[in-house]
Amino acid sequence: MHHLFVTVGTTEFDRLVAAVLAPPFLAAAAAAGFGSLAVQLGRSPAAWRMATAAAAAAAAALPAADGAVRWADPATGIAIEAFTLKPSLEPDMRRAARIVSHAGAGSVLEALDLHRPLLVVANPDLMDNHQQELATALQRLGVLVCADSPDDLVRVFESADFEALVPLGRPDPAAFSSIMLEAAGLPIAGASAQ
Amino acid sequence: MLRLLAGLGPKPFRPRLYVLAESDTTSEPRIHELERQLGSSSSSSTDYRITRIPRSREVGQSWISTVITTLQAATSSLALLCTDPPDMARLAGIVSTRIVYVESFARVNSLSLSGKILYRIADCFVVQWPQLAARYPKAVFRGRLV
Repeated sequence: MHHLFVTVGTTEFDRLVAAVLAPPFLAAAAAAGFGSLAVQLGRSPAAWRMATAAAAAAAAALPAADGAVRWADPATGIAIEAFTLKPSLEPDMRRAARIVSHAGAGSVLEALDLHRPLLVVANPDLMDNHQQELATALQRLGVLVCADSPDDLVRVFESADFEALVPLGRPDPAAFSSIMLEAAGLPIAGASAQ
Repeated sequence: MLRLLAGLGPKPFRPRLYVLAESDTTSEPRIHELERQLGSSSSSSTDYRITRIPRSREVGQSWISTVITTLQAATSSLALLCTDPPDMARLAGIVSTRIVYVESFARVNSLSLSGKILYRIADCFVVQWPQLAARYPKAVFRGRLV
């Protein structure tokens, strides 16, 4: 059985949390072979309440010592873990066979660098919705699939061809260094010697 | 931001002053980790320091209250420029300081508000998507940096 990781980053995205904890998505995840799910909830108290309510409905114990709440979804049997924030999400991302993420550049790049099949969900409620731009541009490159809103999540999760995704190339590690040295009027040769 | 700096190396730009939002609870351990990888000492301020200012706008904050919080953030930023004048600033600067602005990787087709303001002022204006480079002649494009 595969592991699925969902992350909303450091802000709030209640509609995505609600969508991934709802029966249609859990059924789609189970049908796609996922037996466990971890959801990173972000700062939102409402998202935390959704997770604890779902855990209570499944007669699960209260939050464990590590601050996460865990329960088994009664309908699908998927083992669900929910937590708010962690210093690093890399272990959770490494464990996952597929990642569902908000469209924040940091989360998206972290998942792509780990070569995890990635479904990005744009947040249509943000005032300046440039996140949609990034998700769309990266989808055009074929490195991820993108849903326009949490309402579109189940459809994309079920229909997208995750096998066909291609890796995003690594940035040139020396590029920013040479830009800074040029701007400061310093010799670029000095950078490569370090 | 930390992804960007990882490629910079420990020299010659030091000391580095990291300016974080007061509400940022996740970046500080990452900065220490990055600096540790660069070989810096956290006990000495000759390599780097971390300071905090109020955020001008939280995600989801109303535009009216943003006016007040932005003024508070601007005041703190100006105070910082007086107490810690940079030789080289990425975001904000004073006369004789060279300003390098790097637009977010998240901006594909249009500049952020910061980018629109700094496009006229910055000595070096960097974008990370070819679509933006095509629209803004002054912009430098060397591929993705983060």
